Amino acid sequence: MSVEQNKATLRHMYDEVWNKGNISVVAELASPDYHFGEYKGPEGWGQIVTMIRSAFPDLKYTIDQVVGEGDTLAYRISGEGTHKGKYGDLEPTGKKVQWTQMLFSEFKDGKIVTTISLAGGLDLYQQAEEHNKEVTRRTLEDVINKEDVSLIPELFDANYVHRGPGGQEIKGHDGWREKVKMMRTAFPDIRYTIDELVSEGDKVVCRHSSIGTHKGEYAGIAPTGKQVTMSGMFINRFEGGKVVETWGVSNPLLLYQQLGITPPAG
Amino acid sequence: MGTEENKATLRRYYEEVLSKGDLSNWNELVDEGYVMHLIGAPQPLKGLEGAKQVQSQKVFAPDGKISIDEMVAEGDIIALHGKSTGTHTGEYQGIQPTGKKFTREYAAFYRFKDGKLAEGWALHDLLGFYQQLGITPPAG
Repeated sequence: MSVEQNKATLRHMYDEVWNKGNISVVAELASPDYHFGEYKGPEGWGQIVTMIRSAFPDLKYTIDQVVGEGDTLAYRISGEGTHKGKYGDLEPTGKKVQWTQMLFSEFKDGKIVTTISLAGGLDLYQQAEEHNKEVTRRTLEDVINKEDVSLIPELFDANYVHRGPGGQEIKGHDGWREKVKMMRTAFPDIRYTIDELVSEGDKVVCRHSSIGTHKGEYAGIAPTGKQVTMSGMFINRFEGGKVVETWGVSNPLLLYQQLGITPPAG
Repeated sequence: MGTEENKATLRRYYEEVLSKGDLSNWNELVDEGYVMHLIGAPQPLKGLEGAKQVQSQKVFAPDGKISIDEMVAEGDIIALHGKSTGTHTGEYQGIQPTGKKFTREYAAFYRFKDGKLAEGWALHDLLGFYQQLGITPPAG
């Protein structure tokens, strides 16, 4: 088969198999001797496609460049898709990701017999970590600072739990709506600043400070009109691209001192 | 220039420039408008100045070698893939030497103009590389 015929086969494979998930076409395009790592035969190839497409159900590959010599095609492709299923050991982030691959496929009798594939695999992890940082940033800057509680379901999992140092918990979307309402009532001009964000795997660590004027009742304390600054840290854990758990610490004693009142006993 | 001449030029580029870090024949091998699209880098690297921004393997792995496993040429394009191997005995991107041996796979495409490298696209298996050194990849 000629290089041009092999290219036509390759394009057909990307249109039908990868981009549409039409696994039944694999048998026409893959040699019975097909092998890629431990995956053998057209069936093994079908498994790879199913695996990738379940991680990225809206997967779309674009062939950016393809050249051929003898029985080999070398090609560069761009992939994009929404990360909705587990990919390797990376939990779904819900984030739309893009990556680049370079591949070398060997053909036999017009069918693909093996492929060498290199991917910018690091990008996926980086993009997921960037996504988690961005979500964390929005929980403070958009939800609290701008009081946009409509974003809560987009940023927090329905099973969300916030764990504080004394065992107190804030649960679910309603818990967050309450928290925002309570803070905005006590400190209507409250403004959080993110001092540091560190992302690794499915966790984000955030160090923050905030400033606000005490104009409403806070934890049973009548408004003092004083401006207070606070700082704290928390860790967000992510599942499916949303925050599912937070461990947070702050220093309430500092708040009481600034309000000029005696902290409640106990 | 035919594809065989281009392949010979590319072999020299890998041997002299990338493996040995020797830039003395740069103008003989590389077109003055050369642009390298390094996958994952924020911007394309332009010409000799761009090449100097990429840390030479000579620095972080002085014993390093870059092998070419396969070349595929058609028209003015050559695609290739291979491995770079070495021992991490020098600082790499702020990471102190680990003394560990690594094998890093790469693939690249080059477009030639008048027998010289005019444009390139390259990617490395960075994740595998970091894993072999036993370190956490830096966040983006």
